[in-house]
Amino acid sequence: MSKLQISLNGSAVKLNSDNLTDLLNNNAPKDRPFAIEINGIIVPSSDFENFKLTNNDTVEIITAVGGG
Amino acid sequence: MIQSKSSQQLGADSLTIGTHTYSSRLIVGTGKYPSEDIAKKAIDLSGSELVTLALKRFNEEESSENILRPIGNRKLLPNTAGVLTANEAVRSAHISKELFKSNLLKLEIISSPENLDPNMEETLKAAKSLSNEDFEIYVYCDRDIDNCKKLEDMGCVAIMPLGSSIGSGRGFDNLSDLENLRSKISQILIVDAGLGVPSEASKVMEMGYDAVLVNSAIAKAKDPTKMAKSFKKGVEAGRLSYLAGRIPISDQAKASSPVSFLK
Repeated sequence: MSKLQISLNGSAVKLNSDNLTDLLNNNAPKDRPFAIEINGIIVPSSDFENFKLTNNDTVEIITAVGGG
Repeated sequence: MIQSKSSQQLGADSLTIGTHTYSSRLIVGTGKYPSEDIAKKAIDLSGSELVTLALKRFNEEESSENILRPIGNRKLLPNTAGVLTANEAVRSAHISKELFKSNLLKLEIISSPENLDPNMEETLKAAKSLSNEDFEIYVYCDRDIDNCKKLEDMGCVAIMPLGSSIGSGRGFDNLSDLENLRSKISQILIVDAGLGVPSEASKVMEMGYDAVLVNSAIAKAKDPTKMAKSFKKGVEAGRLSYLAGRIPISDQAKASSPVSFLK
């Protein structure tokens, strides 16, 4: 397949695979929970396995940081 | 392992906010600590059972720090920090619920990145929208009675007026406003933001506030662990004093010893 281009946490990224799980295996944290938003919609973790990315998707990987 | 317990286990003076009960009346933030190790020690010594934290895009380069490690098993109160509008706050709330699998939320909408005081118009809009969902909303707000009453009426589980600007350490910009609010608002009231020293926490606890939320005053103190411990004592002293009830203030001296010698 031709390469996909997406926005990942605000940066342009080219992908060889359209599987969300492949993206997450390479870019999501392993040691803490995270949430995924794609094009402004939250993707529940139960949907990760079957989720296919498409060209120009905007993906956010969000996690916890210290705050008051 | 620290977890909320039933009010029966915690004794008569436990604090129930929404569906959760705490024995500590000090809520601490988790930002700005010099290290994870110091954060852990300070949070432990604070005795706090409820801690705030924020959301951010995951950044691999900053991933050596993991705020969840020092927090341990305490109950989490995720905030919507950094948002400027009601729409952004609602989006943050939904992400938060998915991320933490919790409906606890600290709703915080600031006026601008430079002015961190609450934007009340947007806060009221967001609270109204989120109150139709099953969030337990702790809301950062101004000291205006009408605004606080509206938030109370919307079902926010805790109303959290600022003492002074976030991170300022100024204490109180207007203590009589806070005192007045306590007499008008029956919902849980928590002073959030601006406290600098434990005596200020004591002061509002003596006025009948239910709890205080402290971050910078502990995290940025010269010795955060000592400051955490002192805020714990300050909050406890203020609460005990409130329950004990102060004597009436008098313009005249009132002797506590006999006023004439050997008569």
